[in-house]
Amino acid sequence: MQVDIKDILNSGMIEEYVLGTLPEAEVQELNRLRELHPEIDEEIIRTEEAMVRAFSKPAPVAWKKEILSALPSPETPAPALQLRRNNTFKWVAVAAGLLLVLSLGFNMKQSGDLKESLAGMDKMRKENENMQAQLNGALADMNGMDQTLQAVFKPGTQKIVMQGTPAYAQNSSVVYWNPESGEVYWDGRSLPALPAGNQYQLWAIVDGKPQNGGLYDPARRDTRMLAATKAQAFAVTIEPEGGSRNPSLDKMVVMANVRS
Amino acid sequence: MEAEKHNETEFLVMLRNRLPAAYEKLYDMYSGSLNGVIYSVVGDGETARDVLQDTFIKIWENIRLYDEKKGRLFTWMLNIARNNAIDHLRSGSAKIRRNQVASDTLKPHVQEKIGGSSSMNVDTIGVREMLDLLSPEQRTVIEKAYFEGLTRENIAEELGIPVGTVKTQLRAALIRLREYTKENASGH
Repeated sequence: MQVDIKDILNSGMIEEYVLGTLPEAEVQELNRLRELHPEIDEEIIRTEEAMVRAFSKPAPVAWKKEILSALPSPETPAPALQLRRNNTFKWVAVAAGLLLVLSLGFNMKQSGDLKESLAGMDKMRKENENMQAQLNGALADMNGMDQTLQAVFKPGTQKIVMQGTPAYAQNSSVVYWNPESGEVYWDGRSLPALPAGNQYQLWAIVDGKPQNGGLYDPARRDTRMLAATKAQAFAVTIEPEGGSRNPSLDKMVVMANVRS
Repeated sequence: MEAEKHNETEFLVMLRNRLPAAYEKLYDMYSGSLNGVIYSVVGDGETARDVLQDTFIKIWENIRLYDEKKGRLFTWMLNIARNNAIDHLRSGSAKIRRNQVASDTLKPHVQEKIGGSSSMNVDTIGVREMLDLLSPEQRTVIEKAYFEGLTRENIAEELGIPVGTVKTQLRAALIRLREYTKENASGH
């Protein structure tokens, strides 16, 4: 079927798509079309910008700080760690100079919150919502796994096997890294489960400095981590839940240099 | 456009990894338009603040459920804001259910009618001038679609008019509003 793009652009369908009132079947159709025709995608973005302007009522300035600080995102500055200077960790000693801020999520703990928040709501709605949430979760998981697979097979992606440090000699973990795009994919499931309150954190060593790569959340199936270009090495440390600004070098579990 | 797309993907990765800086940017970009819809539904400033805050918390909690292949991030957030605001009205309580499930916020529209759409405060949100450009019929459908998130079918049922008519009016209204914002953006 020949789609007349001009008809689509002028139909008002895109406006409804952006507002979220387009019937699901047409949403799917438009999703398909926007993949095929960049003009449609561009028009969607322009329409969105117009809608954002049209219906905006700026919130009072004071709200910004209040609302952002209400996000569960923990700002837990880790105490700067004194590095034991032995040969094994010499390279990280050099690397430990400057660190990026990070603050990553808690475990989603969704199922727990779900139960709590639904108390008192009627049973039917609860079941429906549970099912829908499970479905959405499964779809998100599938989407995440699909993304990972695509990344792994992408030309240029390197498989980097991080080996256990002396204290964690029996462990290893794999990170996939594409130097061109900077994409990093990692999943900590091969590492031993941690006691509550701890999380694995990935680090990319960029120009000799550790850069936050993101936290491992066992509940997440989306394995894309924070991008890194020009990484010379990757490492994983054990950090307090929510992550640290600086890697706890005495709790480095695995690491590997990147093939140059 | 490719670069823009790439940036959006990167931005999404940062949101999924819950970088505070990404949420700050998100707030700067969208708090106004989310606040617009919230205010139109719940009115009162303090209440709007609570609902907006709750909206951002839900976005933070459920960001991994957002699938960029299925729609725009803005649309997804708009639904969360709208449903949050409508839920708030419906519950009739100042207490907002903090951790309501994703499914509710992801529903593309609100199935139930909320009590009295007269509670909307469209006039106060600064879009009045714009809405005045529309015919009364167009204005009614756009309010129901944008502020209540009702589908064409819901609107048709509520107003007792054919779905085709709702569709025509809605599209005409949206196109008109868009032209208006375009003219305004380009300084007429």
